Amino acid sequence: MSPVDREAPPRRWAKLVERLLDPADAEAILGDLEEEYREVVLPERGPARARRWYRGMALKSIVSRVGRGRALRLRPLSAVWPNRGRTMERLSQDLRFSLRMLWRRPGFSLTIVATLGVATGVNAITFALVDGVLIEPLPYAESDRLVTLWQASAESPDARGAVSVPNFHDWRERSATVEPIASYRAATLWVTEGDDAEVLPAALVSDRFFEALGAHPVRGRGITADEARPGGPDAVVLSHGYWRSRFAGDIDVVGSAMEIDGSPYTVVGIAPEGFDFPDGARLWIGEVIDPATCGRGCVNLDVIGRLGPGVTMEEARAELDAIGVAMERDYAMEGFRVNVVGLKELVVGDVRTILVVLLAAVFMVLLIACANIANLLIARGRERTDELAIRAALGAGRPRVAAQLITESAVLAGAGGAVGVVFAWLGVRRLRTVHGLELPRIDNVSLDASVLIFAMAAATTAVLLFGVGPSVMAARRSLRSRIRRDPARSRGRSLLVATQVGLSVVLLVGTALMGRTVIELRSVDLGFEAEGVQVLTLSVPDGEVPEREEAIRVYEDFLAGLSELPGVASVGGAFGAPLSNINVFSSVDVEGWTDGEPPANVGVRTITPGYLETLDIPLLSGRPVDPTDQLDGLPVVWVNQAAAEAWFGGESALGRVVDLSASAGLPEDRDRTVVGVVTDTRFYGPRRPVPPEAYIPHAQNGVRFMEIFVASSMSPATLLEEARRVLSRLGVRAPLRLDGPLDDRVATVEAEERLWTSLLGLFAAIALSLAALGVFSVVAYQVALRQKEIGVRIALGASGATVTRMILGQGLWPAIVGLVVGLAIAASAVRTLESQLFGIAPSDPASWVGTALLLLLVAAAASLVPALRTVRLDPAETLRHE
Amino acid sequence: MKRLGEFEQLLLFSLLRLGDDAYGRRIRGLIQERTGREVSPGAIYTALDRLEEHGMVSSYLGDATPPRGGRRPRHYRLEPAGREALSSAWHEMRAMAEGVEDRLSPSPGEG
Repeated sequence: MSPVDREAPPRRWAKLVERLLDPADAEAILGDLEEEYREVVLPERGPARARRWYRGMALKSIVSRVGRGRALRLRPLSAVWPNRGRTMERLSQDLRFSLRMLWRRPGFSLTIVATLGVATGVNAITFALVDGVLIEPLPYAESDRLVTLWQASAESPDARGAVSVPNFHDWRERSATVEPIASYRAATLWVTEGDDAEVLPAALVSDRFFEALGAHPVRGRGITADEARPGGPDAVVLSHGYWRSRFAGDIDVVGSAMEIDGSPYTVVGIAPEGFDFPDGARLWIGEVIDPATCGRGCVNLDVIGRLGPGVTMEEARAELDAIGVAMERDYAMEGFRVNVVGLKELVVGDVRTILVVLLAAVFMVLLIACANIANLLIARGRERTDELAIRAALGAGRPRVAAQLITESAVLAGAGGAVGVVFAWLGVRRLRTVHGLELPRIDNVSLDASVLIFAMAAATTAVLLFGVGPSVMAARRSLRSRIRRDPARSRGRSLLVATQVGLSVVLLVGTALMGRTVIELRSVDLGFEAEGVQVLTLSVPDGEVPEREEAIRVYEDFLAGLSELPGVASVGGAFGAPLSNINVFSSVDVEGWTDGEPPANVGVRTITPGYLETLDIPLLSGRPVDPTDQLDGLPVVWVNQAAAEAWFGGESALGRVVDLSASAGLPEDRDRTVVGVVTDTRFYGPRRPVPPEAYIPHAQNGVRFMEIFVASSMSPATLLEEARRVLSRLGVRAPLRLDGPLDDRVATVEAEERLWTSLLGLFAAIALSLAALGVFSVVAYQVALRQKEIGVRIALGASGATVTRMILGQGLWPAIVGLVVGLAIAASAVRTLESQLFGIAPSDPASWVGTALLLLLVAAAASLVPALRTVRLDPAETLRHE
Repeated sequence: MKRLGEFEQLLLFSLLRLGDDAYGRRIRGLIQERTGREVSPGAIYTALDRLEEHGMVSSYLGDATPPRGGRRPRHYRLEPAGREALSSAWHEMRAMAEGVEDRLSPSPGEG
């Protein structure tokens, strides 16, 4: 190496100038600078300041030339990258060689690509799920500052109770941390245009609703306070999509009128594109609840608000807690509190746990796959010692060899990643079409850029980290010690297998527990019979039928007409049927109640004659609902077992009197006589316990919306047609919709659990297969190693059974170690699943024992195959084999 | 004929003074010495290139020398057009300054 020229100017800066400027300019400028540097600057100013001078001059020269547009004439690529041709050539050579090598070992290559593909595929699917549901922000402005407010109590501070109108107004006035606060209530509205009618998802909202959500109307305005009160002007805001489809984007639609629920409404605004909160709303109208009839105890509203600037969640919670206490005092509402839940939490909170569990599970699958890939690549690395030795002899340097191995791995990674992406794409499509799945934000789950990048990154990392490193090392080691077959190596592989088995055990136990949960859920008696029952919905609008008695008559006549149809076994209507999401609550005064604490609020369900029979809900005592139960007759009520138990203890409920409050939407406060006890039905699904419920005959209530249950053999389309005919014969214009089979609702209940179980099961199956492969390969390797020994043993008279047992032992011991460790890990891991389980404890013996047995079986089978194969060979052959 | 900017005039004057010795580094040094301005080589060549385009100067490469790291120097020669332009500019200035020179503040070197 030449001695350092202490007088030379800084090389890097010179190089920079050379890079960036014309050769001619660079020569002239650098020449000048160097000359001056050596002759004047360095002697005068010393090295440090001379260098600084040089740097400054170089930079200024570059800038001057750039300013003139004469620099940055980047030298042709070949000048800057002189070896480009050679590098490209080598790259394509490596590529072709790799492809040839991989082609020659199809088993090896396919196994790796398949393993990688499946592992990255399921990882990508799960990541897509987690990304779409949990990670991506909600589509509202600064959505992390949106909160929902609920009525709760001191003993259940996390309850999410609907809100009454007066309470809503109180919160608005009293809160300084959450602003604005708005209310909304999902509903369906009936829109007519001439003879055309359609029922649309919509919402009734308070003023400042759009403001709270940051969704400022693109034309017109939102609902004002005047329009959000009973008796106020009827205004409607259209969704962007609805405006496009129905009004063809006509900008003059604002100010025009449209007919909703039989009355004229003025269009006052158009919502921004894509906004459809809540639940796909296409119209928003003002809230019409009258606090005079539906007071503080009458809960109906959902409330949403935005945290004020700089306000934290904790501050808002603290303030609203204090407000709750103040209201408890001011209005004598014992235990009244306010629960604040972030909007995102509300939407996805329930599934967060299980999604995280799935992510962890699928990551385990990836690890297992990586172990297999590592194994394969290491083995391959050892096999190629000859080839590599020749290459080294022919002068290929270590970097060249490494480059070739890396190219090969890159090809595998690329192929595996590509397979994974296809797999993931199919999987995500399947996910979105799963029947009955109501996963929150499922529409947001897609194979987008982040998921693709994730998949490719996973594949590449897996191969590079677990494959290239070890295989290169293995090759190098083998080059040096070709003769020595180090048994210590195989211990590493056995450890790898043990890890694979351990991880598989964790997944299997999880799957078993979830599977049992699904079965347990299925076996819960919901208390009603859904098979063969179709659900229609009928509303009777105020505008069409103003009188309550008439509205009641409409329903009665409609039901009578339906029951006369051929193929209809029975019909009945209800407001608040099981799994309908319609739940009305009322406080209750039980006659003769002695306990200090008043009885808990009761769910109030409105039913017609025939309802209990249609849904096959048995009556335990008393009489069924009768057509004679009318507004002018004795006010009656039915109670469920839970209510009878809670209110009357073991005594008979019949003849007892209870008072349900009018704030529940009932016509007035009235004492009602219990005339029947009904068996419990699970209104909220199999997981939630059955609270006290009360049933009021529709004729004594007169709600203007009901679900009509029809037990019939007709097809849904025919049923709807016939029902429409019945309705038109009554001469009433009312929105009638077919909701679908009641069975669907039941299926939806467990759809989520089934999905999680299927996914977990898929992961467990993949893991188990990979682990089995791992065991198999270890045993096969052992067998290959000890061929001569085995041959000798057999020749000396050892029975096939003895030898088999010996080999089996080899394969089983890492599996057993893995099993034990896996069970230990699983024991603590399943605690995270606890909240998802139903009907079984995390320690469910069947799941654990079953898993252990399955694993031992699979490991034994995987070990048996190579063992049996070897034992069957002619010993003479084996001895001769070298 | 192109109007000369004032930096360009300085450059042309340098060429006038330096004669055969007028290459990048010498020009730079002269300007710094006589006017106190520190200009980068890049700026000088940029301006000289422009003058060359207009035919006011011409350039040629000299012999490489060790202190230049074996790089050849680029020499500049004042062409007749350049000499003309410089003379005009100078005469114009003088015509304007005539009679009022005493009202200008003394140059940094004097007084």
